[in-house]
Amino acid sequence: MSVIEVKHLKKYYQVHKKEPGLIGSIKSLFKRKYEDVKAVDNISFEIDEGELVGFIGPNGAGKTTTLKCLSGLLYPTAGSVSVLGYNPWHRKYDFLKQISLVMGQKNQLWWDLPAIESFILNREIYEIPKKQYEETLEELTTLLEIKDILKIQVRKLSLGQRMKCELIAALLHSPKVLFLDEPTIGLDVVMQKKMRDFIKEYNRRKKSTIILTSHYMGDVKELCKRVIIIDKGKIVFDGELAEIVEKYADHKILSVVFSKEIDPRKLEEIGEIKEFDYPKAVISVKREVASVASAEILQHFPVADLNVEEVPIEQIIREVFTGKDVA
Amino acid sequence: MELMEDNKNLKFKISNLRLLRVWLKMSSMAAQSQLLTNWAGVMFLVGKVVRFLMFFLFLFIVVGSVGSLAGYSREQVILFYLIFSLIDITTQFLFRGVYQFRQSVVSGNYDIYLVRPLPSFFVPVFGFMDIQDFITLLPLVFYLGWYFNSGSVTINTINFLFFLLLFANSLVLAFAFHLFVCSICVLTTQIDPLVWVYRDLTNMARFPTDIYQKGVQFVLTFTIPVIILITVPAKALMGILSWQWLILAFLISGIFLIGSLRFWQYALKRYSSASS
Amino acid sequence: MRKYWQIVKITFEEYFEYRLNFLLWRFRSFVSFLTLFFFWLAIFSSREQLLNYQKSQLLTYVVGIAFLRSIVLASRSVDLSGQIRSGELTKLIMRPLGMLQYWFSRDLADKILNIFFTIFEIGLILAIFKFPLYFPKNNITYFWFLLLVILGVFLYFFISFTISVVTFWVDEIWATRWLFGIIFLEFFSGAFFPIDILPNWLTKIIYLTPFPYLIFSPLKIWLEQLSGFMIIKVVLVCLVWLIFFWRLSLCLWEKGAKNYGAYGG
Repeated sequence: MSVIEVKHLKKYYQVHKKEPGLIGSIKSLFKRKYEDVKAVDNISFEIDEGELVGFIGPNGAGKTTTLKCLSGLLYPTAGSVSVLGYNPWHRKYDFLKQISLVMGQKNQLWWDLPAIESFILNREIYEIPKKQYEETLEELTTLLEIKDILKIQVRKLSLGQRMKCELIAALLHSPKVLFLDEPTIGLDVVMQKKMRDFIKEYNRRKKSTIILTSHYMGDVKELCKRVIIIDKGKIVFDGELAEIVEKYADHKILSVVFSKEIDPRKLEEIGEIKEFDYPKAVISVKREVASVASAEILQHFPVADLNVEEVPIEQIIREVFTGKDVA
Repeated sequence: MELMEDNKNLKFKISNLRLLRVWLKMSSMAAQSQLLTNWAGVMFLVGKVVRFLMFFLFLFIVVGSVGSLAGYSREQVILFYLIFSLIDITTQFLFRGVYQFRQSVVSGNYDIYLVRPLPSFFVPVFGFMDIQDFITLLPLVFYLGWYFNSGSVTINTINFLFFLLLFANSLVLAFAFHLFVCSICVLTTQIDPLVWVYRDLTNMARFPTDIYQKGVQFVLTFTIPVIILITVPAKALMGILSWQWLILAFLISGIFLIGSLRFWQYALKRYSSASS
Repeated sequence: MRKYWQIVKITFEEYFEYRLNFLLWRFRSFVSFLTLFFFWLAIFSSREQLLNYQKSQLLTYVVGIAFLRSIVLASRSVDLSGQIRSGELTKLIMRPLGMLQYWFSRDLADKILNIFFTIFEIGLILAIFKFPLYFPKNNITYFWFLLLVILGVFLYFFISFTISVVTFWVDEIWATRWLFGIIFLEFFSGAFFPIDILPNWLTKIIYLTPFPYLIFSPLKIWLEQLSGFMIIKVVLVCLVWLIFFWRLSLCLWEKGAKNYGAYGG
């Protein structure tokens, strides 16, 4: 029995357009033009218990909208959604007590008070039995290493510490389904890794179903076996991550800025030149040889700057889009 | 059969108890937060006291030198003002959350609250108790008590009970209105003007509303029912309320409550939530 | 010159955008006018004179309040605090505009719009109730009235600007503005009731503040209840306050802008 079932979900918005200038303003007093924005356009999928699934896609693809429909925040324009057997839109308390939503930059902790106060508030809201509360708190604070800061005002904590406390607040009631929206956005590299490790561990221990949305390939690679790619409101790919990585993200991008003129043909020996516009060049090399290639370039060419980047997600999606066989 | 009934009742009691506990916890947290930011608190307090005293003085002098206003003695006019203050401060104390709501909608924080197992309007309406209002409420209540005792206006027990009943009714009506404001906020993210309109219209009830033209009184009874909110309890206290008004008061509250809840459901459906 | 007109235009546009906001603001002003009007009408229902005022004089006073509020008190420099807090101010400082002129242009747009509507609203009430407004018998009164109103406009502008500029140093600007700009202003400027109905000792204190000169004094002139000597005195004191707040706001502004470190970034 799947924990999450989505069938032909659609969510459309109406946005009004206004012409610029004073005349435009007066016009809009009398007549407004509305446009349909199809945030989610007929998507269907199923997720089983304990799965850790990643929703990826460019900004505005519809990932967050889908998540919000799953958690009961948005009313679907059409289609059906079922999570843990409930219709999320009905907001039954029994349902809400089993899920949790964590959104990257939004906070639920009270700013002027110590985090522990917000935890106690959540304990009341979710009616967590005392013993369970204490055990869970102990477990989470140990896992995240923040036992000693619980009594400090949230406003005085660093961003990393705050995020950890937010996470704990969201997990105190041991939700069966966890929705994570852009959990690593705005975090530095170290914090990102810690966040990913924690999510992985949490999923392993608690066997909770986790859906995470991100536009960082890194999040998804580290955490998700299964990946759903969404673009312009439609599902473009739904399957094992290994497939995509093998087929599409098998190379990396090297961006180089040269300090002196060079012979592009020599550059071709290292990798496929995507762009060459002196002094900049963009080369594509196979993933495994990326560091070797970088070293080679640094050794044999006059380099002012060199960057090693992942293939941008937009590109992967574009490639998936252009019909390479995925099904 | 009986067991099922018992279970249902128990569940009902427990779920309401939970809400009450959550509300108390939030109130205590709000009070703690506010005690930390003192300067603004002091200024607001001073301002409220000044405003109250100035208006009091104004009524005292002007109505005093005329002798009566719309058939009411000075003491009665002052009582109208005191009851107004009582209801106004109490509703502000309870429903201050509405003032913060816009911010949480625009920032998208409201999403986090919506996902919790609480009534969807719980945080928007009740989410922020202002301890200052509570502080100003206490002396007012004492003064009211003294005012009754001093015999300036005759109060008997029955009238007082009716007053309490209508006071509760006013709270329900105020809740319905504030919920309506939250719905508007969800739909348009514009909230301030509406709240201020409410405050201004409510302020009209600082005077006995009989001074207004019939047309205005009609508006104040059936659109934003300020008369039901404030004047009716005050008149009940003085024993001059007719039973027709009594029925009307409950009827209007009921209609507003149901309408408001329905409208809120509708607003939630149209909720588009700030996107990431 | 053109750029200031541009600002006025943009402010108008903003109003159209937030038209709901604006309409409700007008409604608010209308309601407070109506409330007071009815109150005094009821007070005077059985008599012609009260506390030194004729019926027509006091009702004219109430109309005067509504009118002067839209001219003297309407102000957009309130936005300044918001801009300081949000760090938006840096953008504006970089533009080649005089700060004061910028805000005054915005205020101008605000006042024009407000006057337009106020005249309409007052006209409506007068048409319905048909009571005689008190008009000054001497022509010179108009001159003094207008003079004091203009002085009042600038005085209020500088007071408001000073309060806003305080945002550079104080976090809790709302409380300050509310206390001084709304509560004190409301009662001590005579925008609610004529100050001289209060006991003597209280009026003496109030006269020490700059507020009465914004609304109360101009209206007293209009109602011809001030002697020639008093009028001159009032105008001079108002001028002094004006200069004081003008210098004060400029001085604070310079200090604040220097230390402004794009707070809120």
